[in-house]
Amino acid sequence: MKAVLIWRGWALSAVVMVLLAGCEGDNATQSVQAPSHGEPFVEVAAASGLVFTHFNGASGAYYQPEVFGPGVALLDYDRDGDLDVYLPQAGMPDPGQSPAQALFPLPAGQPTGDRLFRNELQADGMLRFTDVTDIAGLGHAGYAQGVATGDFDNDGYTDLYVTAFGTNVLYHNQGDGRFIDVTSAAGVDDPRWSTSAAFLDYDRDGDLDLFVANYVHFTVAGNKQCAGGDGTLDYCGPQSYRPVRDRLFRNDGNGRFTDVSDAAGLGVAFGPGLGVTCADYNGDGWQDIYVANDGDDNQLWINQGNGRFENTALMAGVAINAYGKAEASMGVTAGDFDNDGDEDLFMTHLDRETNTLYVNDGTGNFLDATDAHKLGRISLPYTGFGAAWLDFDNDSDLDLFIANGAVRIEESLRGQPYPYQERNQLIRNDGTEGFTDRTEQSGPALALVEVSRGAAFGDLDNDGDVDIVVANNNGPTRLLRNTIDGDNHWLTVRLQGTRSNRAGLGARLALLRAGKPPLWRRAHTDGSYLSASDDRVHFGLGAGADVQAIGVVWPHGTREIWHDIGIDSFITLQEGSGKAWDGIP
Amino acid sequence: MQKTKRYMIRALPGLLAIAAITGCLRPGDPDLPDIPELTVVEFAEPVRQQILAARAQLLETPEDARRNLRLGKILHAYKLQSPAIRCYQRARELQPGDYETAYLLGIAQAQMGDDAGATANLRAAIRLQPDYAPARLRLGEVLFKTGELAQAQTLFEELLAQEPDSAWAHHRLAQVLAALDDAEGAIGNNRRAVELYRDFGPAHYALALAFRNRGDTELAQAHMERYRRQPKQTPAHVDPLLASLDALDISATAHVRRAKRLQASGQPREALLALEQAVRVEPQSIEAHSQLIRLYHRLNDADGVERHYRAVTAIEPHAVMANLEYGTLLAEQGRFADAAAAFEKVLAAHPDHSAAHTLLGQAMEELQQQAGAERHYRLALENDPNNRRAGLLLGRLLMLTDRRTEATTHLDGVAQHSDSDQALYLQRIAQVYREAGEHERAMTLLEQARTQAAAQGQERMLHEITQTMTHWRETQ
Repeated sequence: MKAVLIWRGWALSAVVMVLLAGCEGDNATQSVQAPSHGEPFVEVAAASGLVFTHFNGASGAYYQPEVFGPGVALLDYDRDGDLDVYLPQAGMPDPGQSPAQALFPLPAGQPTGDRLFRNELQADGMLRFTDVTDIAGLGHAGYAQGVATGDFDNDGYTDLYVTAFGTNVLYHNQGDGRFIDVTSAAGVDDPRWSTSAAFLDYDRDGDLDLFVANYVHFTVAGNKQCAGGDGTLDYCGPQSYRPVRDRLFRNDGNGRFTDVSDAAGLGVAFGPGLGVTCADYNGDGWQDIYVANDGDDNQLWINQGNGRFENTALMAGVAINAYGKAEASMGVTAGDFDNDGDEDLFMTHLDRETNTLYVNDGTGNFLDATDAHKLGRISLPYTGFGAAWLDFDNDSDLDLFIANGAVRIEESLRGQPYPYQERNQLIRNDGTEGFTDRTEQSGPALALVEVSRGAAFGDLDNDGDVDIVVANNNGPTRLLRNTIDGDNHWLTVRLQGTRSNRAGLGARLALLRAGKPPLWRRAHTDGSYLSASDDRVHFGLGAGADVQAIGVVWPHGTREIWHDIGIDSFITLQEGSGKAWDGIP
Repeated sequence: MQKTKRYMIRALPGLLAIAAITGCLRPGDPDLPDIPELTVVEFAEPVRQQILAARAQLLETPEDARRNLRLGKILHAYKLQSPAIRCYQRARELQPGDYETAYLLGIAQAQMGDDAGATANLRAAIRLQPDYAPARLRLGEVLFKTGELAQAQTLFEELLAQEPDSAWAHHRLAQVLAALDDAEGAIGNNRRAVELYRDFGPAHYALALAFRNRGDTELAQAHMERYRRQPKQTPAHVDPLLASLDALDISATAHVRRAKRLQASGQPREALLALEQAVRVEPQSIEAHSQLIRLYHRLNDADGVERHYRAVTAIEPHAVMANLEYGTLLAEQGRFADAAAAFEKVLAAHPDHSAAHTLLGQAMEELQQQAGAERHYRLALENDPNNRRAGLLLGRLLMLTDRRTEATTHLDGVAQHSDSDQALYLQRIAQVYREAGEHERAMTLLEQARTQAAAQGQERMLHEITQTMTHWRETQ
């Protein structure tokens, strides 16, 4: 059966892109430089009109929320075939203070509040963004932290859930370019300090439920003062405050959600939650939830299939690291980096801790394999936040990008106005050789030294490779456009659920190859840190693209297969249009 | 930056900012690092004087290695590692043969993430004083962290030859062996570690995962259970050189730390003295005042509680521990409205504080404000479903108002926790059922409480439960 190819028109193959590189576009603001060999990314935010600076409202009081945001979301809100960008904005954490009291003012001319930038991708592949916040009816003006994306009412338009230090907001995408705030009607507010959130269909009823990770009980009135390495004030760690419990909202299918946190058994364990990623970790067909907590045990909520979850993190080996130590987990990403058909976890931590790789044995038990894969030592100098498995070079291996930035004063930067800057990292998967830090070889885009937090991943220019948007704390948003070229092929799949949720979030896709193990990927927008990524599923295929078929395990439980798959293209697979599939032999 | 400084002075009225120490001498050997210029350090006056005096002495004889070491140690004691390292480096240059300097410099560098420097100096310390075992342990830890597994293994093995009964050395060697894929070697060493120190949490955790990987579920569960009971418990490090830093710390924080140790070892009067010393050093220390309120409360000294409560609320009206302790004391005195006011102060700044909601609910129940009490118990549970006290009180209140089904749900939830408090809670739940006229169920729960108390070796509790059972049987 032929796959449904609906985006051929948008698909600019690598070959076409090479041809276009020499053309002179009409976009005066586009200043993309041809990358030198080995520099996979070029930073093009300002050049493409994605101009946004995060304002954290720091006033010298060292209120903890100042140092934790922001995230970023990539979503095709207007269904024009390209990814738009939503950027949460903070404000003054103390409502009694005015922005004039901030140490680092909002840049002149930049409006307050969250912003939505529409991608007006040019025919020649050039990116151009326009701020459409006001037209879209957005612009949440609280102290936003992160954002999750998902089509909760299955109307084909992606909705937004914005987390905040304060009231969270659910924006329903009306389908006409506008959003409306349906938080109260939907019953999904959480007044606590919320961080990452994720849409998932935990009860397999075909609509997306919502998990919200919460951090700590912080109030301006209860602000504590903590000292840094020289006795001067610095931001407190999570231990200074009590953790706040997380929330699971069940989608009732009528525009309303029900808080089922207690009924689902999630109340018995919680910590200062910062990251969340949902996947079927034990291979039983039900979506599980992994929560990364800051300085406390992480939780692995295994879905029991009856509306309840059980936290198996300790015995599964993912609550604390191999050395019995709870780490300051911030961002988290799940992916099958070793191509054995299960979801492995990578999470980011404080400097002087390592980031941690937990390898799944297929049953939901994990081994801390950080050192064995050479991921420990390279992370020691950095405090990691956003992170994702991505195949940046289309060689079919999942690599890693990590957004770094300190939360306590960097000794080497002491005396500077905002001494928390670090560089981000690009880490290549070298297969059996482990991972190699390629940051130094990756050019100016990876040489930026900023306070990075959220990071979202997706093919913004529809050229078949994964671009990255990095959300910086107290700094400008960065767009790292992937300019990798070469002989590697790719395939990007959009799912269209019919019995399952519309975007097929939670589905597992197996790309079957001749003579090689299948490549497993998951349809998701969650993971990283405070951020939401492209809901399409990207496969790097390497130079010899020998695709036989694609199998999909839908969230609803059915399995289908499609043959005759083209490469270097975007395809859509609609649930019910494939052949029944028994799965990998 | 001016704004920052103004804020800090306003926000920390009790702390005196050290004025910039400028214009210091830079005499002596030009190859030596400069004596650190401490520009914006904020400490209580006695600490400030201690640092200034040590620095002034050093400036008199800047090439005196012992004085460099002393200033380094004082700064290190207050976690001012960067300037401490400069002082240690000067001392090390001036007196290369001193192992204490090499060791402390290596420790400070390791704490600051300078693994190369730490490795060099800890190696030097071992060379200078091969018998000082903690240096081997610390160097092994740094080497392990930086992936030098073979060298780390050698060091831990040498350490075990020196101190065969070091639980830490066995555990660290086990970590290296696990990283080298020697699972059996790792299990053997961790087993020895828990033989030497039975509540060694991380060693039990490592054993649990190792047995899980081997498919031995029973042993895995047993070790995980031991880990759960004491997850952070580890053997004390016997390290006289690091202990000497602790002795130099005269801050309120250090006195509070000592007081907690004294309380834990059953010396409340000595703890009181340490805490009073803490508030003399730093009159604005909320932690010290709050601990004093708690301790005076335990010692039934209402005047002491009152005095420190007044002091702490002048600094921070919403101070959590102070208000909760003070409110509890007032409730014990039957002053429930005043107690409620104290708990409300906490909730004004911390509206999600589960314990404050529980206590406020309890006070309201005493004031016959059942609806308010119920609301606060529910808020307590909403914010922390593991709050057993709130669960018990809500269950009891619901039972009293004849909402038995929901009451039973809450009471069952409270009974399900398994830890050292389980016997106590089972006893209380039994009491609730007895008050509700369910004598048989009450007696069953009391028997369960007795079994738990016996299993946990809680003699006093066991005695109390046995007496209650006898009484109930007689009065039924």
